[in-house]
Amino acid sequence: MACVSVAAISRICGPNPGGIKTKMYVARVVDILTLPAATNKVVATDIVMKSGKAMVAWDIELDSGNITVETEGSVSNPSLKAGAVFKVARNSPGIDAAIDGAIGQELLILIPENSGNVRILGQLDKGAFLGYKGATGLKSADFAGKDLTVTWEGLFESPNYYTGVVPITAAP
Amino acid sequence: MALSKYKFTGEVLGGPTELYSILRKETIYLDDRITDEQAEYLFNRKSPYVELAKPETAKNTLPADTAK
Repeated sequence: MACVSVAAISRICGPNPGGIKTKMYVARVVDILTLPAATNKVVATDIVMKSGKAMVAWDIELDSGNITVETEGSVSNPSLKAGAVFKVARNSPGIDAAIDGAIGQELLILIPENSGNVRILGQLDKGAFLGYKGATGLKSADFAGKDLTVTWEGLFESPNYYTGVVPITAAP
Repeated sequence: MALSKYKFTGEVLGGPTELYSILRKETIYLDDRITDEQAEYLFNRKSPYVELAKPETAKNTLPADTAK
C-alpha cells in the first residue's frame, strides 16, 4: 500500500472563476459576412469575415473586466441590456488611434471569460457600442490608460456563447 | 506538408488566413502550416474554412438490369 493515498471523488460542479481573460476580439459588424445562429444559446459554427477583413485582438488589463447583463424597463414588459467594462493599459498613439477608430461603430466583440466560456456582444443587425475614459493618473503608481465600456441594449436574450474559431488575420 | 484529406476554403470565402481557437488555445493557419489534425478539428465542427478535398462522387444507383 502506498504511503500516501488520495482517492478520487466525483466532482459535481467544480471551480467557478469570475472575471474575464486578458484578451478580447473586436470587429465592425459591417466587416462580418456571417454570424451563424445560436442553438441553445451556443454559436458553434465559425464566424466568417468579408474579404480582406479580420477581427482584431485587444489586450485587457488583468482582472479589470466584467460582463454584465440586466433587465430594464417595466417588470411586466422587460428587455435586457448587456455590457462590459474593462481597462486597456497605456496611452500611446497606436492604442489611442485603434480605440478612437472603434468609437461610434457597431461592433461585434468576443470576450473570453475566466470560466472558459466566450461571450458574444453584438449582432449583425444591432452592434454593441464602445465608450471610454482615458487618464494618465495622478501619481506614478496610478493606472494610466483607458477605462472602456461596452453597451448593448434592447435585447431579447442575454449574450450567446461562442465555441468557434476567431478569424484574426485578413486574406491577402 | 500539404493536406490530402481536406482543403481549406478561406480564399474562396474571402475569409482569413489565420484562425485562433480559444478552446484549443492555438492559432490555426489556413496554409501549408495547417496540420491534418487541425483540419479535422475544423471539419468536425462544420467550420466553413475546411472541406473534404475529394468529396465522394455519387454512386450509380441505376439497377444493374437497366444498364445497357
